[in-house]
Amino acid sequence: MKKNSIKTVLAMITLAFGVSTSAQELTLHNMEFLGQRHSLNPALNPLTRFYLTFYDLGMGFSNSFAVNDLREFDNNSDSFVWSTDKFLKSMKKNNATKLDQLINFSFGVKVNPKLFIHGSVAEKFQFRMTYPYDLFAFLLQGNLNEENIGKTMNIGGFRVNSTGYLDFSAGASYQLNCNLTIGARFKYLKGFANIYTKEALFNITTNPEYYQLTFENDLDFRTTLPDSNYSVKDLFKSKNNGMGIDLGATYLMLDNKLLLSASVIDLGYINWVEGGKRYYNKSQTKTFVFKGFDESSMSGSEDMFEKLVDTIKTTFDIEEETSPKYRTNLIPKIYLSGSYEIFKGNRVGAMMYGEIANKKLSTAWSVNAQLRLGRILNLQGNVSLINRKLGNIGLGVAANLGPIQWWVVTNNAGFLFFNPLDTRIVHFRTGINIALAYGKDKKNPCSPDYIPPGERNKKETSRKGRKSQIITPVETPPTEVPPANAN
Amino acid sequence: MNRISLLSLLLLVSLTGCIKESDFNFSKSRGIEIDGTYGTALFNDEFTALEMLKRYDSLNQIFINDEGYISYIAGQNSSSLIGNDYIVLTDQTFSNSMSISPSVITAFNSASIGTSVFDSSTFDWVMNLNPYEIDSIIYKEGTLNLQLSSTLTIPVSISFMFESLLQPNGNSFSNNFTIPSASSASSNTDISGYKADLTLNGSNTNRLRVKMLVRLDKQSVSDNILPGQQLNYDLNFQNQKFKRIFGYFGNEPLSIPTKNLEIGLFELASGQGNIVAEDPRLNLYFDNTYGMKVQIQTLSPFMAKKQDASLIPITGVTLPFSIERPQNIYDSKQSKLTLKSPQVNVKQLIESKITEIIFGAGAKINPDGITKNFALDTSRVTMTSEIELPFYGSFKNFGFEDTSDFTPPKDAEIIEYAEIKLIVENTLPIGLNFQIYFLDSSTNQTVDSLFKDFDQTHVIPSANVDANGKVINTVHKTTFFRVNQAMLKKLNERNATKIRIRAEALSFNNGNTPVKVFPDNKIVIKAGVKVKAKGIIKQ
Repeated sequence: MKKNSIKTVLAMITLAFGVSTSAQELTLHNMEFLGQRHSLNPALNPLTRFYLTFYDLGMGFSNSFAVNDLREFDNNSDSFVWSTDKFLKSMKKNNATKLDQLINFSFGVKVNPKLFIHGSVAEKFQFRMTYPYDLFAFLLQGNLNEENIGKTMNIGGFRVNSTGYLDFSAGASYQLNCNLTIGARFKYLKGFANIYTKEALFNITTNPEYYQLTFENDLDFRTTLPDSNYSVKDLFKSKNNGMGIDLGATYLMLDNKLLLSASVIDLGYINWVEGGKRYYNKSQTKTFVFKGFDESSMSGSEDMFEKLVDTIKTTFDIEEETSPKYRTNLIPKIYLSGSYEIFKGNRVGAMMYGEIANKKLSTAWSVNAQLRLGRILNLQGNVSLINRKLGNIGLGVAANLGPIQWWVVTNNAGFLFFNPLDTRIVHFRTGINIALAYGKDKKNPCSPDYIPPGERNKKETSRKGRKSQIITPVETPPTEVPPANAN
Repeated sequence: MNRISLLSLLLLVSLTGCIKESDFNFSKSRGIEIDGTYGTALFNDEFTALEMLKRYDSLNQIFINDEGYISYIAGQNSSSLIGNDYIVLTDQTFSNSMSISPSVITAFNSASIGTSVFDSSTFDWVMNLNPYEIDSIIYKEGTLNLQLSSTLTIPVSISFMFESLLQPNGNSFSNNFTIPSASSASSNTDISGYKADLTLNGSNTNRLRVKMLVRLDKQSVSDNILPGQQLNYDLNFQNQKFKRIFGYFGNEPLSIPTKNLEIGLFELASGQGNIVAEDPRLNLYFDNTYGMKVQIQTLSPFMAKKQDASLIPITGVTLPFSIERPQNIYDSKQSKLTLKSPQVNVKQLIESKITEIIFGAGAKINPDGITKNFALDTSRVTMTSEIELPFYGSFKNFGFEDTSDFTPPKDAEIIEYAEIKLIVENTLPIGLNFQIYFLDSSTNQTVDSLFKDFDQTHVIPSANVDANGKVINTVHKTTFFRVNQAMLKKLNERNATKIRIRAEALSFNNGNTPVKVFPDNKIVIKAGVKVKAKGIIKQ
């Protein structure tokens, strides 16, 4: 069982590192050129009216501590020690390692001024592991440390929840009025790999009297893993089906300068019906108290430690069950953001990201500034608080080279350009899209570029006479903007 | 201008970090810093006094006495001869001859052919069983042998009738012979289960009446008996063993052979320790299944052996001591002779930690003269010698000391200290002192000791007792056995490679107050170990 577990975890981590990206797209969310925004908020449309992903790849990893959180430097001796004290101080009660993988092929078409339909086919992989402070405190401080003695330490609180699935999404955004746009994406899911930790309890309590140890164990986790030589074709044959939905909305106010955006994505589930295994503690008594050896256990032919091990094995007997059927939820994510257009095409804003994994809500916060240079370049910089560490510098660049759109975003450029040993997150995502049809939204009455139908022909005629005219943003809104509730 | 400013701001924010190349040089690591305290329970058990003693009581010698506290009782039996070996029935023989009376001869010689003529004789078979005066015997085994020879010139038929020798079916025993002219005959009869009444239905003893009947058959004219012709016979009881016997069996000596009573109680305290026993006893039990009174006249030998094999006579016993008889057959009669201090030197024996009591006895039966007795084939007098040592007293200096090699750990700088926590809850009126000495291997001088304070060596303190020696409280004690770096350094520097372990058990108040040990007196021992690791583990 143990070997299988280790193999399972290693397989998941290896798989996740192949092509991965952090789910917390703090930079991508605000890149106005990119259709990939639809995957973060189905109501958040790009400036382009058509896009098709050519490739969309990246790498992401986040952890609760950085390498330098483990080291204490001594400038006098120009050396360092691996400091257990510093390491423990950098940790919280619950800590997490997150990996996300995405291979995404998406498209979007704005079919009329109010309706933007979009869809995608994606292979997604989400890996979430929480691990407890208590384990490291137990190992590094010891169970008789003043802080730990008498305290119930959950040294086995590893919760691994990881899912690999194919996501077939189709959705649309619709502009209800000049202020409010709503969007939704419906998902059909086919799961191909999963680790689900339902219960992972391994408590140890040390009694101060004479250090009796009380162990509590309750373990229940399920796995559904593909064969090592599975093919893409096999992924599509999976019977582990599920459904999901993304919901989002945007709201414009203060003369369209303030954009509020909210979305909840990855609300859904997968039913795992084939290829699963369950490992659980079948013992009725899940508690074992070691009060020391008694005289009878120290005599006799059987070694007293063997007797102890036998007792523990009986108490914490892990049973394997084949072909369990179970359901797992996707990891729901929340994006809340607001940005203010300080001048045309340039915004400053703030964003909150949250996700609920392993029954814990984890959040990330950022403030950002966006700069758009015509249709050519879209830049963004942000500073974020991720994994309890402030100062992650996020950068994003999107460039339109004719119909080819190249882009790259990261939540933490520090990893690439500064000191990677201080970083707790690694994030990098890039892609190439085919993006067409920028320009003024003359048919949308809510757009500042709106031209009433009667005048549109005159303008068209006039424009044909000036072939090389550069379109520049109009600084002032048209006078004929309908009221906010007009639709 | 605004756009350029914003772009500049973004770049400025992005360049706030810096990279130190040395950060990546992991060879500058001095190691892993460790500062942890680890521990676990080691031992937890409780031991009641009775349980502990029973553990070594393979001979089942530990009991709870009438007063509720523990006693050590060891006993050994020695038995006298059984009935059939003590009361021996010798073989008995009776020889005689019978002449045909003249009138019978005349009648026979003149009788017509086909006529039968009879003659008879009755006699008492007096058995030589002195000094026994036997009334009756029920035989377990034996043989009655009859031998006949005839000088008559005619055939003769003879019957022997034993009216008071009853067969198992209740009928009197008889035996018939037909002897041709001038010839002999014999028979052997197994008399197992026969009952012989030797009283002649009166107050006689050792006598058996026999009637002899002779029949003469005239078969031809020439059949004649001549004067002087006779019949000769021998009667024999051989190999007689009784099942029950009644009568008087004399007053011959009856000895109880020498036996050794082993006392293992003091094996654990060989050569050391002082004991004061408050109420030890030596009991002599007698079990009599003979139907006659027995009198113990001597106890010989009667002495105790000490651990050094020297002997102490047991003195002060008043003799003779009479053992009564059971009133009914198959019953037994018990008698007890309790020997206590100060009359008998029992306390001295216990305080000398004796290992054996050697005993035997000489007795005689019927000390009051001639009385009617009974005995079974299995009757015997059994003497049991029993030492009874109530756990009521005091002791001290029961020590254990041993020296062995020891290697103080080296290269254990990371261990700041190791400590054993010992918790004792004691309701035994017995304590234990413990100390470990670390010795210089060449001079055997003490370099250090585990406990620096004498008080700390009282690892297990005794519970307190009242005026009756009964425990009145539970005493708690927590002791820490700690070995730290400084101590290890000292041991290594001084080449302390030997340890001497010394333990001493003693009863309450340093062994000066009598205590009683009750079966539920117990000691609870809990122990855990704690190790403090601090330092840098070099890579």
